[in-house]
This record gives sequence, structure tokens and C-alpha cells, in this order.
Amino acid sequence: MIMKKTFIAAAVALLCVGGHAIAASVQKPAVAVAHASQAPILAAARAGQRVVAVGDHGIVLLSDDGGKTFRQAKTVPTQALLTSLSFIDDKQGWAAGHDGVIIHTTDSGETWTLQREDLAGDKPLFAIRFNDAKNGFAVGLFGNAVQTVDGGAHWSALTIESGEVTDHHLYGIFGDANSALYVAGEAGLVYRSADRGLTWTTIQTSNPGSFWAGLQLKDGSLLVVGQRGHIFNSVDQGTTWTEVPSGTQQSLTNVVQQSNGDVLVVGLAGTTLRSTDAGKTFVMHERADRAPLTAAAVGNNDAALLFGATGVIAAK
Amino acid sequence: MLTAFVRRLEEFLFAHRGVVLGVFALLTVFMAWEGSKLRISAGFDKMLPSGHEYIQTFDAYRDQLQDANSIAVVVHPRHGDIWNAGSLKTLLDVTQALTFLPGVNRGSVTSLWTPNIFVTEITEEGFKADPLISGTVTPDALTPEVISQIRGRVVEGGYMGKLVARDGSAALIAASLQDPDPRTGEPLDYIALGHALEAQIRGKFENADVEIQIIGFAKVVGDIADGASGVLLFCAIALLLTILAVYWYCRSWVLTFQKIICSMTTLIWQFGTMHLLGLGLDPLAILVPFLIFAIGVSHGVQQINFMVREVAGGYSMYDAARRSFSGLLIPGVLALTTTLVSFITMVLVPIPMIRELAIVASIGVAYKVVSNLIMLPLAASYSTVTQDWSRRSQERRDNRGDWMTVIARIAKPRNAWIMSGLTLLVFFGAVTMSSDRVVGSLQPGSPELRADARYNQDSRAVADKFDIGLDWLTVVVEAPEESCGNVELVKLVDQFGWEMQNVPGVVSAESIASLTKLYNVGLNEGIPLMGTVPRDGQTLDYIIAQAQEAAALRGKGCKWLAVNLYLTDHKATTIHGVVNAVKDFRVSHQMEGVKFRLASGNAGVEAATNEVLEHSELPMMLYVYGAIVLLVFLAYRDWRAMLACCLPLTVATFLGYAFMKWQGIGLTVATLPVMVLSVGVGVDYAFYIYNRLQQHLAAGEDIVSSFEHALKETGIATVFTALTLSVGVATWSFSALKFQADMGKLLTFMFMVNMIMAITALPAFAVVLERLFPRRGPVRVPGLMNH
Repeated sequence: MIMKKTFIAAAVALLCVGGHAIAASVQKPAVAVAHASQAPILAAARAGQRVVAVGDHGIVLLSDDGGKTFRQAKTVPTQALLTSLSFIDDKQGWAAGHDGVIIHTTDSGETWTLQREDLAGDKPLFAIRFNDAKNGFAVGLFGNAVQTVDGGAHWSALTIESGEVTDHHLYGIFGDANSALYVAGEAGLVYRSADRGLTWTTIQTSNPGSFWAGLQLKDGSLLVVGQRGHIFNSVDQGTTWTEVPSGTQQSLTNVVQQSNGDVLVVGLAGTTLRSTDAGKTFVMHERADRAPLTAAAVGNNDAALLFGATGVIAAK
Repeated sequence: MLTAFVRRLEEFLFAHRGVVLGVFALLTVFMAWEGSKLRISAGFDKMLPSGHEYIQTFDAYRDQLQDANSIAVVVHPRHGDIWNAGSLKTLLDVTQALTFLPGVNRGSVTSLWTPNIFVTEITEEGFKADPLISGTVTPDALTPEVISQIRGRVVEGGYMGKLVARDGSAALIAASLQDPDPRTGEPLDYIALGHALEAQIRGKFENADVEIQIIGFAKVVGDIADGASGVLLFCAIALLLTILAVYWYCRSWVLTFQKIICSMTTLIWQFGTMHLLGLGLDPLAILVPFLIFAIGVSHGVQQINFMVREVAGGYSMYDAARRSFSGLLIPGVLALTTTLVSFITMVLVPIPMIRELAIVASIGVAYKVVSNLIMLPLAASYSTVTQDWSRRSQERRDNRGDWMTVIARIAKPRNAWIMSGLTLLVFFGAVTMSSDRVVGSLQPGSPELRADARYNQDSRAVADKFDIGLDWLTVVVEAPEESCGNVELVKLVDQFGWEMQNVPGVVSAESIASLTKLYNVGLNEGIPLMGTVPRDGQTLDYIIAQAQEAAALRGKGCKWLAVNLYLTDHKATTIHGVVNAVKDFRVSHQMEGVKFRLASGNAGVEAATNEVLEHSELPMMLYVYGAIVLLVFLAYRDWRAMLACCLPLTVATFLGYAFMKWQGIGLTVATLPVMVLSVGVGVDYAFYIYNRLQQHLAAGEDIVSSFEHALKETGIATVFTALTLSVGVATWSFSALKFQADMGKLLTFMFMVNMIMAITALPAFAVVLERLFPRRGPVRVPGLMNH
């Protein structure tokens, strides 16, 4: 936020990016290393039975035993910090990250190809979501957002925020494309699109801080979590939001729902919050090691898999 | 001509023996006065191989990089944890005591109680930084509420593992040292500081409830100095044993003390000279005076041997002393020259410590010429012995020589062949076994101290509980001026750190890139999604400017960037692997105007030392052997002599290497000199025995009976000398210092093996060579070696 001014000029100058395939890239392929599973991990998802996780140095981790052991993907065309993952089935998925990179896999994450990059200034993407094999969205720093209608062959700029200020950071994207799509953003903002991304409305919650992640639960209700332990939920498709006490001041980084319906929120300083009543109340736990948790996924037997700055963290 | 010179010298010296001895006495008094001012001193720089690539990097950046010269004091309550009023109060007291120790940089002292520790919070409004323990909290007002508040802030501030043990069981105080003192310009006295830490920190605050753990270079040096003074006891024991042994050998207290006093005189001169040269007695070099003393004993025994023989032959003690002087001057000088040459070759090792050791040892050996070859016979000429004593001495020698006849059977041709074959077998065994010898130290902690030494226990305890890297290697990345906004450069440094982190032995990597990531997150609400080096150059430049901790990680304008690789340990194999990985990376990731320079940090220094030791050992050994071969050839003008003397020596050297491997003794600054010195001392044995052999061969005896006689005459003296020296050095195995124990073990082994080789392999080789290549002419009596 301190550097916002610096970026505005840059951001404006760079709106022309998008809609072209990568010809020459500065991205270097990720290097195979001995301890890939110790790289900082920022996102995890399931591709069928496989657990896929992404993070720094272009590290993509794969687990075929429900998260017990991880190995490094064969080819990843970037060393950038990867921040987000979206799989539409057990084969096809996308990952987004810094340098505006989006990479694509059709073999459950074994090999990846580079679909785009954006090197004009700092253009990180923080979240990516595909509704189907064709339609996808990615959002990032200073209101930066892109979309595709052809599975990522072409990406075009997307404006989510309207009004006087249009450069709030966009940290999360979630929802169900058939009803509505949501973006969680800076300064307590949530954005909603009921027409598959065509038009967006801005919703200001009572949260002064940022939302870092969000999730549509199985019952259709919405949950956003973020800075300083704030959790808000909505049962009316995002029209109104109410705060849920979290019992922590630690910032919350990710939220997942297990198949038994339990909601798990993870955060910094080893914070985990569990809700057994679909996000209405949470019970807090702090790991003794205070390891910052940055991502969560659901492994075999509904086990919660945790990831953090030191990579894969023992499932607990 | 030479003989005439010796005669004239003998005339002169013995004619003025009172004056000469008086001059020596005056010199001794002067040197004793000078020597009394000699202090044990240790310096960090002396251990560094000057000129080595890594040391050049170390020197170029030593003032800017993370301070190797820091200490950590840990307050560890023996029961419970740190979170109670008593423990926190102790922590405050220790913090204050440490702050006021001379040599400690006061502003650098860091603990929970120091005002330079803040907790930074990122709130919706931005940053909020408060001192960890608020200035209003006094040690008397530590209520459980206040303590739990402090505890929470420690966790929030990220100081768990840094200032407080990960499990809360201890708290740490860190401080860096000022060397030299900025006010006086005096170099820091590490030993004094080490003692002050022991007395004023540990001594004052450690009790039944609190344990104080101290780590850091200053403490190691202090502990080494203490351990080294313990060696005085071993020297005293060795001295006593030597006196008894010499008496047993000669059965005359007068001769015994004359000899011991002559040996001691050399030491006094040596200490005096060292102080005059401005040198201190380094803990590592403490072996030298003892070795010089030992050499004195071994040559002194030859003098006594000679005199006894002469007195038994009917000469007066005065005449016997004169004959001994003339008889032994040349061979003695030759033997000592050989030793001297082998000592001097150590000057070739570009490590000042070893050079100093070489110079000190050489001076000692040079003095030995005066004290043993001139002073001892002069002093002995004053003593009177009875005919009866001399007759009994001769008898004793003959009796002792009896069992030498058993060994002398080796000289019988069939046995000689068998013995030669066996020796060669042993040789190949030793060569095989000694392959893959380890360079450097093998144990964790300070390699100079024993594994169970307090310092090493403390190190392990602290390393277990805190995220502290005791061993690290710093790579300096040099870049063009104004590179703080160079995105590709910082990203390269980031990738370098990451790839190195995946090298076995590397625990973590710290660099401007890792700091940039932290700050990028911090400047953006603390969100982990920003944990990378930004693509935008201006942003990067701004972040680096913000990062205050970057002082030791980058130069002005990012002209250089440091990458600290924290290692699991400092074993030579670990460091070697990391260094190679760095070299591979810098070859495969070249960037215009950017240079990856190895290496600073304790592991960088160790890497350089290991490389230097490894590379200089072979050439040095070759020079030593070259010198010996040349001297033996000059003395005997016979290549058979050359082979017969040098082969057993070579076998002994390789057995020494095998012994090192077997005992887990690495090649270090301490053990390299031992191997070189033992060759120099070992060749003496060969000289004595081969010399007598030549005499008998020249007298027309055949090789077998020549050897029987030679072994009878000098074999006992050789065995006696080796045993005496071995027993003396063996006491070092009990030293508190690991390197002294290693040196002691190795030296004991080398003395014994050299002796055994000289009385078994040497005769066997000589006989076999004689059979294979019979001499055409009669054996020349080398006038030089007439003793």
C-alpha cells in the first residue's frame, strides 16, 4: 500500500497486455531439487485422487498417496512464485503466479506449458479459477485481472472494480460459476458477478482489513477469511456479510471444506480454525511450532493436509 | 680439511671451556629473563591460509560481512522454563554484565531486555513497532500477567528460536566484539575475554538453578589456552620420565643432569628468542618446545654412548668428552640439518601459523647444535667418572645388546628376504588403508576441543534449541555499482540460495533475496502471496533500501551481495560438497558483470585451510624426502644407503597415514606438522644404525655380521630413545585439547614405527640390496660420519 502510487502509473501503462501467446519468455524452467517439498507452498488442490501443490521457485508437488509423500513435477516452465491452482477434472488444470504467469497441464500436473507472462512491472496473479475447459479467470495485484474463453490460448484484461478507486488488490476468487462468481479483495471488499464475469458489483463489508481467501460451502453459504483473523460469512449470495468470531488475531490464509462438511481455516503462526457447523462457529488451535500455514487441502480419508513457508507440513 | 677444522675448533673450545660455558650461562640468564615474558597467545588470522582465493574474499569483506567475532550467552534454568520472574531477572543481570565486559560492543548486545528489540505488528492501519519489553516494566514488577504478555510478544515478534529457545527452556544474549579496540587501537585479547566470560558471566551467574552456556570464538580461544596450560603438567611428567629413563640408561646423576640441563638450555634460548622476535607461544605450537627437548634427549644419548665407550677404552672423562665432541660434531650437525630441513619445508605451507611453527622449530634445532654438540661435551669434560662406573656401563650395554642379537638375525639373507617381503606387504596394506584420508576435522563443535568438552556440549545444546547456525559459508556475489534495482541479479541470488539449500549439509540460506521476500510480504499486509523478489526494479530498490538488517548482506548500492549458507556441521566432506555445488552453480549461471566469490564464514575459512593442507602436503613431503635423499647420498655416496634409509621411512609415513584413518584423525593444521616432523626425527634412527654398519663394512666384515654389530652398538640407544620419547608424548593423549591428544597419539605412533622400521626393515632392505647389487669396490669410510 505504501508503494501504491509507484504502481498506478505502471499499471495504467500496461493494460495493453493480454491476448497473445508467449513467444520469447524470460521464464526459466524449474530446477529439480532434492528437497522440493520444503519449498514455500501457497496453494494446493486435488486432481482426482492426486494432490497437487504449488509454491516458490516454480515448485509443483504431486502426491499419489493422499499427501503422505510428495515428488516434484517433471517439467514446469517457470521458476516464479506460484500462488494459485485450479483443476477442472483429474487431468486438466492451471496454475497462476508472479510475473503474471499462467501455466497449464493436461496430465494431472506432471508436465506444464506456459500460457502467459507479464513482465511489465510487478504483475503477480494471486488467484485463478476455471469454470470449465474453456472459461477461466485470474486476479492479482492492483485490480489486475485477466480472463480466457479458449482454455488459456488467449488471455484478455478484465475489469472487476468500478468506481473512483479501481486498483484494490484482488486476493481470492471462488464461487460457483452457474450461480455467481466472487472475488475477495483488499480493504474488506468482495466482488460478485452473476453473469459469468461479464459484469461485477462491489460489496463493502464492515471489515477494515483485507480478505485473503474465500470459499463457497456445500450448503451454498459463503465464507471469506483474511488479515488479522477476520472471518465473514454470507447466506444471501454475498449481498450481506456478517462477521464470525475467530478467536485469533493471526491473519488467515486459506479455507477448505472436508467431505464430512467440516470447514478448516488456516493462518499464520500455526493457526488452524475448525468449524463443524458449516462456518457458523470456529474452534481455534495453535500449533506449538507456530509454523505459518499458507495452504490446505483434503487428502485421503478426509485428512487435512497443511502447507506453509517450509513446504509440506505433517498432516494433523 | 673438514677434519682439520673440527680439530682446531676442538682445541679452541676446550682450551677456553670455562669462558665458553660462562658465555653460554650469561646468554641463558638473558634469554631466561626474556623468555619469562613470553605469553600464550592465539590469533584468528594466523590460522588462515593467506593468499588463498577464499581468504582473499574473506579479507576483502571481513569488516562488512556478518561478524564471525560474536558471542552468544544462553541462560538456561535447570528446572522449568524461562517464563518466570527469577529466570527473566537473571537474564537481565547477565545482559547487563555482558554489556560492560571489555571488548564487547555495547550497542550490539541483544536480548529480550535490550531496547534494540522491537515487535513489529502489521495492522489495518500499517506498521506498529514497540520494544519487546516496554521501558516501564521493571524486574521487580514481573507479575505472571506481565510475563505472559512478554511471552506473547516474543512469539508475535518472531523471536522464538532467536532470543528464546524454541521450547522456551532458555534465553539467549548475543553480542559482537570490537577488535581492535576503537579507542586504544589495541588488538582484542581473546584469552583475557574468554577468561572474563568464564569468571564474570559463568562464574557469577551459574548455580544450582541456572546453567550458563557460552559459545563464540573468544570462548574457544580462552578454553584452548586453558587446555594448553594443562599441557605444562604433561611436559613436567614427560620431563620426569625422561630424567628417570636417562638415569636408567647411564646410571650417573651427573651425566643425567648435564644432559637434561643442556636440553633445557635450548628451550630457554628458544623462548627468549621467540619473545625477542615478538612471537607468542601459540597453543598449537606448544608441541615444538617439547619436540626440541625430545630431539635433544635423543642426540644426548648418542653423546653419552660415545663417552662411555671412550672412558671404557681407558680415556679420562676430559679426553672422552673431547673425542665425543669431534666424533659427533659432523654426524650430529648432519642429522640435525636433516631435521632442520624438514622443519623448514613447512614454511612452504601458506598458513602463517604453520610458518611460525616452522621458524620456531628451526630456531630450536639450530640451538640444539650449540647446546648438544658443543655445550654438553664441554660440560661433561668437567665431570669425573670412575673406571668402575665406566666398566659397568660397558657391561650393561653389552648385556642389553644381547637381545639385539635376536633382532640382528634379520640380517641373515633368508630372513632379510622374508622381512623385506613382509615390509612391502605392510607397505601396500598401509597405502590401501590410508586412501580417502579425511582432511579437516571430523567431529561437530570446536575441533580443537574434545567432543565432551564444556564448550562443545554448550554448542550442541544451543544449536539444538535455537535457530542458530554455528557453521556457515558465505558466498559474496559481486555486481556492478547501483545494482539494488537489478531484478535479474536478485532473482539469481534467490535461485542460488534455493538450489544451495537443496545441497546436502545446507540447512538454510540467507541473502538479500530472502530478506527482500520477507519485506515484500511485510510491506503488503504480511500476505505470504507476496513472498518473492518483485519483478519491478524500482520496487525492488525501494524494498532493499527499507531492509535495515541488510547491512551485513549487501554493500553500498548492492555492489556486493552476501549469501550465508548455514550448514549442519563443518566436517570437511560437508564443506567440500557445498563448495563444489557453489562452483557448479557459478559456472552454469553466468551473468554479465556478476561474480560469485567463495567464501567467508567459518566454513569458508575451513574450506580454504583444508584445500591448502591437502594441496601442500604432498609437495612438502616430497621436499622433505628430497632433502633427506640428497643428504644421505652426500654422506654415504651410495644409492643403496639412500634406498635402505628412505624405504623404511616411507613405509613408516604411510603407516602413519593409515593410523590417522583408523583413529579418525584428520589432516589439520595440527597434524600436518606432526607427519613432517616425524620424518625428520625418524631419519635420525636410520642415520645412527646405518652409520655403524658402514664402519663395520669398511673394517672388512660381511654385511650380516656388520649388522649384528651395528644393532648391538646403537640398536639399544635407538630403542631407548624411541621409547623415552614415546612415553613422554603419549601423556598428551590425556590432554583436554583434542588436537593435542591427536598430535600425541600420532607422534607416539610415529616414534615407535620409525624405530621399529629402523631396526627391522632397514637391515633387511640393506642386505637384500647388497645381494641384488653387490658392491664392486670396498666400502668407503665416510670421514664425515665417523662415530
